[in-house]
Amino acid sequence: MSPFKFTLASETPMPKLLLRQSLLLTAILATAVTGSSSAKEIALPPETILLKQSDLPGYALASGYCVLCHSADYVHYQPPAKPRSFWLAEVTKMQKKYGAPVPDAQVDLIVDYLTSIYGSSPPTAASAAAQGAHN
Amino acid sequence: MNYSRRNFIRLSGLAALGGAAMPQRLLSAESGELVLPFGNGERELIAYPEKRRLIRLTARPPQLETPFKVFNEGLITPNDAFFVRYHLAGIPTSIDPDAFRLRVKGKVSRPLELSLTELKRLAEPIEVVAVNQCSGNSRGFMKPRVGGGQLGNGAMGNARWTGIPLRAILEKAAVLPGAQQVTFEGLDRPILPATPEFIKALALDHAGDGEVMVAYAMNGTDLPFLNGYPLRLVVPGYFGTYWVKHLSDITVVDSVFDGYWMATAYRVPDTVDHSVPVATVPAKTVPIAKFAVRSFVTSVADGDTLPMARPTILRGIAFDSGSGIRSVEVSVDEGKWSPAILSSELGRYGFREWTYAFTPIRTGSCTLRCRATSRTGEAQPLEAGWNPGGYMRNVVESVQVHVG
Repeated sequence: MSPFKFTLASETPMPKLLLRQSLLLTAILATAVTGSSSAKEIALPPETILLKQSDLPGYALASGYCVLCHSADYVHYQPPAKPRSFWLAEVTKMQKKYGAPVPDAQVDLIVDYLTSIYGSSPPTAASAAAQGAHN
Repeated sequence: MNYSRRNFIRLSGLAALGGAAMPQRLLSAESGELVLPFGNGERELIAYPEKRRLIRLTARPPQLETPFKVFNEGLITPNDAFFVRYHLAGIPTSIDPDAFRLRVKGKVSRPLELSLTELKRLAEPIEVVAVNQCSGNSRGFMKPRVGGGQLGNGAMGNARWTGIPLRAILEKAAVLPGAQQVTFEGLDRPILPATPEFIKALALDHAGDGEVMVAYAMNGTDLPFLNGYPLRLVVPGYFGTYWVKHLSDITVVDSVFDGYWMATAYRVPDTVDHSVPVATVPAKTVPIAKFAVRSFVTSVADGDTLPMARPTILRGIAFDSGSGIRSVEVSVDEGKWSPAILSSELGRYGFREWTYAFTPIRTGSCTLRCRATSRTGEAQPLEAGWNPGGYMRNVVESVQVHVG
């Protein structure tokens, strides 16, 4: 087995680059592995906190984009009642600094969801309209 | 709001916490609960490999905080209670120590690929008792609150680290003229290719000062997996962001490294106390560096009751970035500051124990405060500083007890 194994606790398919890195490491280190493996291994406890369900369209988007790279507790434990600007800054940081593949056109919907569910303000008219069945 | 500052530990499971306000959860049999004393401070206590139940901040990647009462168990933080902080979710979960290699490359004349055995033979091992503290320790207490990991005071710990001085490794690799910095990367990786890899940098002079260490043991045993097995960088007196875990790549560079985790993240205001007026943007920032002096009462917590007119020995800890602690003073109910007794030092970089005999003379509510001063004369401020990252809190802390 590979001497290095990377965990992906979510059900997300392993991104290609990571897979390549993993295979590359395996190839590099295969020559160094002799006899039976003495690898030290750990198994991590499961995630428990999920994104709060919502009919807002941003919920599905957040479920796709936000928890791709981190568990939902990153969102859940932020300070209470933060304004829209706080959540917009977070989403923008993830998009611009961490490379989250969030299309610009969907940023507002995600921010609406986060602000409405975890922050201080109700959803905007745009989000409510997209919600369709309500309001 | 009147949050009790006591960490209430409830071990009766999740059922007791049901209700509309609770998050949606998947049940976990091994869970307990604890409430950190700030808004949205409910946390799960979960046992990880080689760890007792700790406060889980995040699951993927794992971030675990030490329950504060652990700091009253002794000056050395046990390995199974030591905090855990990762940045990227691609963390290793299997490492073969026989196959592991530490690579040293870049501006060196002899690049190295060291096995653990080779590393340990490179030089005489050194030991240091040193505090590791997360840059964002205590972020949850910032007023106004800022984004990021909402930690109580438990993202710190004091351990005896054993390893090989980085200087010996750099000497073996023979650093070339023109080198400026040394960068460090571990085995953890981002999930997305576009996410910056976690790479940290130190000035060459600092990296080669003989104290910065590639550690393989913590409190006399192998590093716990989640604390960086099999190797981590130990940078005494510096915030934990530099203490790279699962250290696998050391690169000597001839410039100031400008990767995300140095040039953008982990920056503090370039002011004397690294603070700015609340809710303002600093004009200039610098990479976070050394600890600010701190102290805590550990023997009593908010809500505890002390007996009237009988002496209670208060106990606590203090530390700074390595000059050592000159004095700790205690104040009762905003009264005058009186010196505590310092116990012997385990090392300039470690927790220093203090004690203070306190005999209450009034019943009712009572506020206890402690304030440390380092040997360089740095004293804890009475008013909390603030910066947008929520870093480096070191205000004088207080504990509210009841006398009766």
